Amino acid sequence: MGERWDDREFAEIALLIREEEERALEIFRQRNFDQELRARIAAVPEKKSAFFGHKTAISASIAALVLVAAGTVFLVTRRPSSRPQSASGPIAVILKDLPGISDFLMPKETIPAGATDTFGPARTVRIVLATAARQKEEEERKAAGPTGNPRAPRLSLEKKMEILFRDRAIERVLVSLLKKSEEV
Amino acid sequence: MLTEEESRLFEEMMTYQEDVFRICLGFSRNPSDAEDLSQDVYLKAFQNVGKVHTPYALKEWLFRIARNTCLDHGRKRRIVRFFEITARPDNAVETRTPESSADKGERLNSLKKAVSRLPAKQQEVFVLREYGHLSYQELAGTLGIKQGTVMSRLNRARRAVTDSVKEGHHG
Repeated sequence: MGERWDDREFAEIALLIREEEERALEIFRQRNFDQELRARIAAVPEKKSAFFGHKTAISASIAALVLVAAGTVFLVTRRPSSRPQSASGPIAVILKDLPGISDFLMPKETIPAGATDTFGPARTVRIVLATAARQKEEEERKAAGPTGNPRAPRLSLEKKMEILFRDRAIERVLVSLLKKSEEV
Repeated sequence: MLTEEESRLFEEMMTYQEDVFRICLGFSRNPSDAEDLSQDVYLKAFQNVGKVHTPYALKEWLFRIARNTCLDHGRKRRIVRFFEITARPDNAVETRTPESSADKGERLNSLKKAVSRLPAKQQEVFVLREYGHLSYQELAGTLGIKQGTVMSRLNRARRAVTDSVKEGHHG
């Protein structure tokens, strides 16, 4: 009931709207909407592609800069270790320092002539130490390289940080220059 | 540019240009603005036609673009009006029609004010129904609400507009 009452009350308003609409549509039909729209559409992609190209160039150059910086940092920090870590050296030192064992660590030459090295543990320890010493020498020889020159020492953390900060600063300057050139 | 299917969809959308224009007229209440808005609507539709996933709901999709474009335009216009010191002469439809009487002009002005004063949710239902001639089902689909909600909002909007025009006319 209420809705019907509203509809009847609203009928006049609806008529007013129809009249307004018809008059506006008359004007609209006189205009060449279709042609104007298609002309506008035809003009848009050019703008879009130019804008897109400009944007792509900026992002590509920034990406390249970031890649270069990241590559430099990676090369500096992730340099392959000059020599593999070996536990044989420290073990030998510990064994040498142990009381009681040091007595068995006499070189073979110090054993009196005629006496036989029959003491089992001492012999084993000596063999272990000799092997460790040989291994260490071999590693050092390998680390020195074929020419015999020692490799560049590993960079300290401070040095690495310094290089990193320098890279960042260069990157920032390049980015700001890029922005300035865009503004120009 | 567009694929064959996208071109077909766009051409189908072009058949609704008068509906789109009427919706824009309902929101802007000015034929000139309504035409500009219709162009904006079709431009957006053209740029996004590739995103149409349900071609059967093309009409609703297009009307949703129209509604959003008009609401955005209304927001911008309100901001501009806020900063305007002197009000510009009203260039609504009634001032252009030679046969319009002072009384009709007054009523149209009242109607314009009444529609613009409606709460946003009622206003969009009112405009899409009274100007866009959308069915309840289409309205529900376009606005993403239930048909019952559409009917109650429309009823409230009609009542408010009627009262407001009556008050404006007599008061």
